[in-house]
Amino acid sequence: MNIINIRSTINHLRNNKFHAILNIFGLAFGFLFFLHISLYVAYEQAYDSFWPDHEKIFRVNYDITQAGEQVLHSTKTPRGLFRVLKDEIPEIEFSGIAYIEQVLVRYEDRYFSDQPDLWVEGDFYEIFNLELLRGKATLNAPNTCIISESKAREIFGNEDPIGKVLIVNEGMRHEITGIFKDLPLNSHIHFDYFMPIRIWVTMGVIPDVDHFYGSSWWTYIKLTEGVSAEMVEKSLETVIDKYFTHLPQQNREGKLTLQPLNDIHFSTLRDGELGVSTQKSTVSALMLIAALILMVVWMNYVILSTALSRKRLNVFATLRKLGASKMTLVKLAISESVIINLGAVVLGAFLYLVTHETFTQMTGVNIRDGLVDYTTILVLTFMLITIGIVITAFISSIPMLKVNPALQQQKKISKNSGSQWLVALQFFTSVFLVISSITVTKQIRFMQKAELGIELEEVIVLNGAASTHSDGRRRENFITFRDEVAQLAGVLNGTASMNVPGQAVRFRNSNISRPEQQSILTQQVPVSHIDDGYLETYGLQLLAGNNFEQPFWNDSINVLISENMVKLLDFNSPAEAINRQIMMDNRLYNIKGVVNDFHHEGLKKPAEPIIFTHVHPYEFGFYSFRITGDVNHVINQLSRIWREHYPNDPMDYFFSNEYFNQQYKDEQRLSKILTWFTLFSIALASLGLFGLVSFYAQQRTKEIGIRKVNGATVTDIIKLLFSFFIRYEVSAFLLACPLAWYFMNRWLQGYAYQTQLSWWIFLLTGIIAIAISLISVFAQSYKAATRNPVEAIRYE
Amino acid sequence: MIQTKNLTKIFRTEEIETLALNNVNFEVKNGEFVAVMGPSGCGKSTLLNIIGLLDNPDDGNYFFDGTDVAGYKESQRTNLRKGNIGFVFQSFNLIDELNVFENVELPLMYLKIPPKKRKEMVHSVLDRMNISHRAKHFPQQLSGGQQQRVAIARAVVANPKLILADEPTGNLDSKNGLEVMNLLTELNREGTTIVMVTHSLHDAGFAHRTVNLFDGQIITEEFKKELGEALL
Repeated sequence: MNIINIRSTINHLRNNKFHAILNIFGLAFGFLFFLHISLYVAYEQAYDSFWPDHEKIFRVNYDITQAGEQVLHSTKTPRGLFRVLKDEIPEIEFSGIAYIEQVLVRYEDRYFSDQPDLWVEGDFYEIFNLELLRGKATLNAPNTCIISESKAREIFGNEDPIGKVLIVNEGMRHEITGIFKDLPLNSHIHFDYFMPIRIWVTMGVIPDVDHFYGSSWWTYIKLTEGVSAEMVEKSLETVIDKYFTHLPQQNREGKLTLQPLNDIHFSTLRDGELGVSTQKSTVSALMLIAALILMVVWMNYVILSTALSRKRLNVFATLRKLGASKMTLVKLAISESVIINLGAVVLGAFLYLVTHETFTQMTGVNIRDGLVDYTTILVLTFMLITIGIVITAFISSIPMLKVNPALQQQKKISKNSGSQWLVALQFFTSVFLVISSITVTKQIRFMQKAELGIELEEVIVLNGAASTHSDGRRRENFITFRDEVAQLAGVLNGTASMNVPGQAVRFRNSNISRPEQQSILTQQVPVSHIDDGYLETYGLQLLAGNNFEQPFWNDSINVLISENMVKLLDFNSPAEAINRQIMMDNRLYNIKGVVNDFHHEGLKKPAEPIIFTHVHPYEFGFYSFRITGDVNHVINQLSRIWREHYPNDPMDYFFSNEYFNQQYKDEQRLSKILTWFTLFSIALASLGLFGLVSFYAQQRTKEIGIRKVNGATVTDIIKLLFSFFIRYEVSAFLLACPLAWYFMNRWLQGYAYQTQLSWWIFLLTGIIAIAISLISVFAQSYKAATRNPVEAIRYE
Repeated sequence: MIQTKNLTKIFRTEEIETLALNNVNFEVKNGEFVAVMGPSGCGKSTLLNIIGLLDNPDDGNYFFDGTDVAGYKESQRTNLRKGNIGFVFQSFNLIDELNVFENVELPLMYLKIPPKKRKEMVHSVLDRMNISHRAKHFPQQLSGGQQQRVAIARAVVANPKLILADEPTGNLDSKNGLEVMNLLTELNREGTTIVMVTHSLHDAGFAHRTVNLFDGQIITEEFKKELGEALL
């Protein structure tokens, strides 16, 4: 690339500013999206890979089947397991467990509620080697903890946190012994506090040596050097046989499997994931999209720059006459490609910095807080762009190479360059995305507006008072608090419950049967703890029987069940189930009432059967109140009463309907991402079309002139150009519709309750697509159509 | 039929202004055959383009059939041009992608003449130009003379009052050139007004009157005695 090449290229681009700018912007936006997507993919791929020895670390997963049906498919195991693993299987070097809790933390007179805390036991720190900045981590002393660097700064500022004592929940005292470096965001374990489970043993809450029932604890192991997971899984079968002896008695089969640490983030089908999960197919799809985007923007570049080159054919012929070799012309094309691509890279990098915040909001993930190998990504991107520059330069130099210096006027290049099919492909993508965006938005609206069987409007929910955790009188305290709140003008009713709608019910029981029948249910059923105010507060209807009542001990053997639970238990009607008995974990309960079916977890799932017991929530639970009128006034009054009753706890509240709709945030995020992609793909398709029309109109300049001399009006010319392109648009639309219908239908299958894929979605998309192509074609062909025919006829 | 008063046209680039036509007063009567001559760059083609309503003057008046059309907008010019003016160019200007029939049919389509009638008209003019056996051929398959006959066929198919010819024989050998001139003369005899720009004294000899242009101004006019005087 010599200086004359650069000068001549810059002059050429300056003379065709509009095309050059269009080209730079098209490429820059392509690079921008590519960079965002590839960094995001790198972030996802790097999940948990920063842990030392990560390839030796595994999570133990737990499955139970009964008569071929899956009863449990969990990421969690019984607590007893981790202790026996090392003894039974020598290939296991370390084993430890974890339990998650949002805790209330107090330091002096300050409160920090909903703090993410991981309770750990065994060799947890040997498996997960946290990088300690100061102090040490130990699990032997139950009253200790380690906290993250940023949390230490938040609580203690410049003070030295080592040796300071945090008060947790109802008053557990934890001395800080170490500060660890903040964990990257792309770690499935992401906590500010790690505390020893042993404190519960010393408090007598749990036994020292636990049993093999239930599944509430995440078990992690680290294998010794050179041991394969398959080998250990084989040995785990003997552990099942030896310790999980209750399973054969229930005619059930248990299975323990190992999941590699790096796979955990991509595990989406098991119950109880500790961190957020991503589907592997989503990551692959994103990589494909990133590659496609690059390909498409470069093809657009080729279309646009070839259109420009055609203007210069006579210049190239002259250059050839003056002795330029074909290679010299290729170098010219490379100069142009380098200049435009570099301009685009600079602009794209600038746009990346500008849009980083928006992209972060869109994905809900700030990749800068994660651990990503930026050097590799940048080197790969650089290599990719270099290859792109060379390839596009070669393709766009083809018309130059066909120049025949012997001819006075250069011959036309065949118009069937295939680029119209590229533009059709881009339109195909746009149509597909527009249909998808509309469908996703429609489904979100459908779910937000659908009948849930439960009334969430005007319900305020308070986090249960954490400091009363092990206070024997907390239920009585709540009743007095509730009675006082109920006196307020704007409060209708109140309840304390273990779970609130929008959450997965925390306890699920897989050991339920009717005493008169032999077999237990093959289905796990959610069991939630509520009180006598729940039905009224959440607007549930009693279909048969009675509600719970005070005093609560009258209800200690009673349960309320939902209508579909009636069916699951094989009763013919709600009335028939009343005062009949069910067996749950070998205890008999009496069915006191039946309520209508409702969606505890939104419309992604069908309304599940549910069992309610009259029990005050363990740990803290939630206090919900149905309110009316001036919300702020009620909140002020509530705060006042709260302070009187719970002076040691801050009052945290949220609104039930807002909380419930939060579970659709994945869909909302998807909708946002789709909208951006849609806009981008439309812009790309328009750009491609624009370039193509410009190319086509330029090729037919003379023809347009002749037609005009012979009486064609501007409209006639625009019609002529449009009719050429509309065929491709229409084919793209017709092909995209059934495909989008198929995929969106499949996507909707993932929801128990689906919106309709209405005809108007396709019609609207068609109108949008045609309108966009009309605008693109019009913008470019108007210029060609209004050009003075005299000039046009002279044009060669 | 055509009258211009102080017709002026200036071409501007960023640095240079060229006065292509300088106060040109020019008249063509119905049925006349006028040749415009002059050296390259004297403004002949510019004059022809303005007369042909392909371009607007910067100053002065242009009366077409008594109406001043100098300030006409593009769409008005197109409408007036349709069916009234036919063009013949040195480089034929046929559309490569259309065959002979379709090329000739073009002006009729823009006049919105129904297909059946179009077919009749095209065939009749192709017969007349002695080229109907080539109707399905594409321009590249024809000789220069044949191409120009097709171009003339296209110019006259809608029976225009005026034919403007810009060096119609410039790309032809003398035999084919003569044939084209005979065709034009015949059309003129049948009543079509013709204005022809030419470099060739021989071709100008077919016209009733020759106007000589130099540096954008008319410097002399010569009449071909027998006919020219009769018309005046």
